[in-house]
Amino acid sequence: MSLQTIVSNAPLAEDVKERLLTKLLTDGPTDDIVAEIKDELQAYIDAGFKTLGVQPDPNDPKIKAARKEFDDEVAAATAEYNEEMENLSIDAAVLQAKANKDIDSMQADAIKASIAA
Amino acid sequence: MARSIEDAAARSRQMAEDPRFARPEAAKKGPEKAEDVILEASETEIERAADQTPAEQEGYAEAGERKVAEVKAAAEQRFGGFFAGVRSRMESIKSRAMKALYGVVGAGMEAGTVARKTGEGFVEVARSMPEAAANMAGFVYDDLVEPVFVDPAKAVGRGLKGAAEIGVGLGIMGATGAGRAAIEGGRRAAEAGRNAKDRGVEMAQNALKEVEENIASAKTAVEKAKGGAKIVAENALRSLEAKRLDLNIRTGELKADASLKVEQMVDVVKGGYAQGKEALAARVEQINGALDNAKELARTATGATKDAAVYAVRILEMRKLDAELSTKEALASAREKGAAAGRATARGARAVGRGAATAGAAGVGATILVVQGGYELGRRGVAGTIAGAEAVGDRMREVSAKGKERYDATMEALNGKLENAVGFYEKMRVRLEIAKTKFRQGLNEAYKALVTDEMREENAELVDGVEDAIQTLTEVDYVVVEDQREAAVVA
Repeated sequence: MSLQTIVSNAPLAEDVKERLLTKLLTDGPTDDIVAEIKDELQAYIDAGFKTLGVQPDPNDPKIKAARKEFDDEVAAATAEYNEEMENLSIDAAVLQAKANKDIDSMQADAIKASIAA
Repeated sequence: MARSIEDAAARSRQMAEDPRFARPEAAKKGPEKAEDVILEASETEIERAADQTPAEQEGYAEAGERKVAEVKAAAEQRFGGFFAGVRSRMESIKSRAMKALYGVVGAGMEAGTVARKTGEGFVEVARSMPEAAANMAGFVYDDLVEPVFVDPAKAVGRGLKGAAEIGVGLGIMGATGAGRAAIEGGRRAAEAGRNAKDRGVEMAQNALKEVEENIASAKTAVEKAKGGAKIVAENALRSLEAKRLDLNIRTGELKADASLKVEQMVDVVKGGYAQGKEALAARVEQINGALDNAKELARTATGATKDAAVYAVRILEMRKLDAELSTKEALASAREKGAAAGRATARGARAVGRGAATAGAAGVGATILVVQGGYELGRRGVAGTIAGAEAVGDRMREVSAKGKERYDATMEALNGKLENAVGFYEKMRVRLEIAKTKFRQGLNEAYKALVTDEMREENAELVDGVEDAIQTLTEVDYVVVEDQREAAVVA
């Protein structure tokens, strides 16, 4: 099922759906448009729960577990991200040092060749 | 407690007004929820709400959303900085590499230009070589070849003239040498003559003494003898007297001859050829004098004395002739020796001329060889320079190719790192999106579980709409996550 179909069948206001479909047709399913679709749906859901008067318990083990899982995932992603960035920085520094050495060697070869002339 | 609730409401309001929050309208829900809690919550609920953080009051979804936004913003900032740094490094490396390559190419071009100019210089020198060789050959021809080979009569004339001059000089030297030899010979002859004279005189004197003794004995015998014995004695006495005369003549002759030879040699020593002639004349005159004496004696004497005088005349005439002949022979010999010396000198001069001509020809050949050698050296210099320039050019091209290869390898490696970084960024974004989605779905399900039957009966349409929206959101997540997974697999 395509995003256009999902949006067309979504329980959103018609003007909202028309705006989202226009963007999908114009720009395609970009990250921003997808995020906007999700926000609209979540806002609809939040408004519905509010109207119904639903208020979850923050100390509910399920909610706590979900929150912990999310925090752990973010922390793990951050750690992996930092490690990967550090490795890339080291690799880039090594490459740059090697390139500088190669350039020095080339210049030395050029000078030798010019002296030989 | 109330103060805690008020504090919570105040913090919620601060968050609602804080621009750092991505969704302020959602944050505004915080105060409303706090007021609801004050009005509707039980004592336990009030206490529980007082323990809630503003984020909890806003809702976990909001907190998660901000968390994700913060992480994403930090990641983009960090990635952006990383990309900018890498791009800056790439540009720096590229700039240095291109500068080095340009430097290599420039150095190669400069070396090639120098080599080309040097080669042109050698070519110019090589081109001037034939002209220099022609000039040298012209010089050699004009000054050496033409006088020696093209105009040989002139050279022969010069050679003959020189030979004649040298012959005259050598003739004089030869005559002088001959004179010196004659002087030495004369000196030795005079010495021998003096010795011979002394011995001859001594012998003649001894013989004369013996004759005188015999004559005295003969005279005594003649005086004492008588008859036939007396006649024999008288004959013997005459014979002895004739013998004495002969001895006297010979003794005088010996003396004269010795003196003549000594004088002759002395004259030779003193004067050479002319004086020799004078000496010859003097000798001839002396001989003539002796001859006149002998002739006078032969004319006036009688008997054995006359015979001896006639004999002496013949001897003297023979010696005169011999003296004249010997003198002529000596003169002829001297002339011949001078002529021979002249001929030898001429031969030497001709040999010298031939040697000079040969040396000239050799000089021409050597000069031509030198010129050819110079030309060959110039040609080799040009060839060597061109080869050197080509070698330098090859070396420069090699350096350039090597540098370009290294540059390409470096750029490829950097691009690989950049692709890795982009791929990792996408991976992280998908990972965080999935976590966010799961978290939101969990919260929505938690809300959904709290919907009671009473709520469903009173607001059936609203509940259906909310549940439909949750389902739609799940479908969106599914499609997006699937697309992202496919994108991640492709990346």
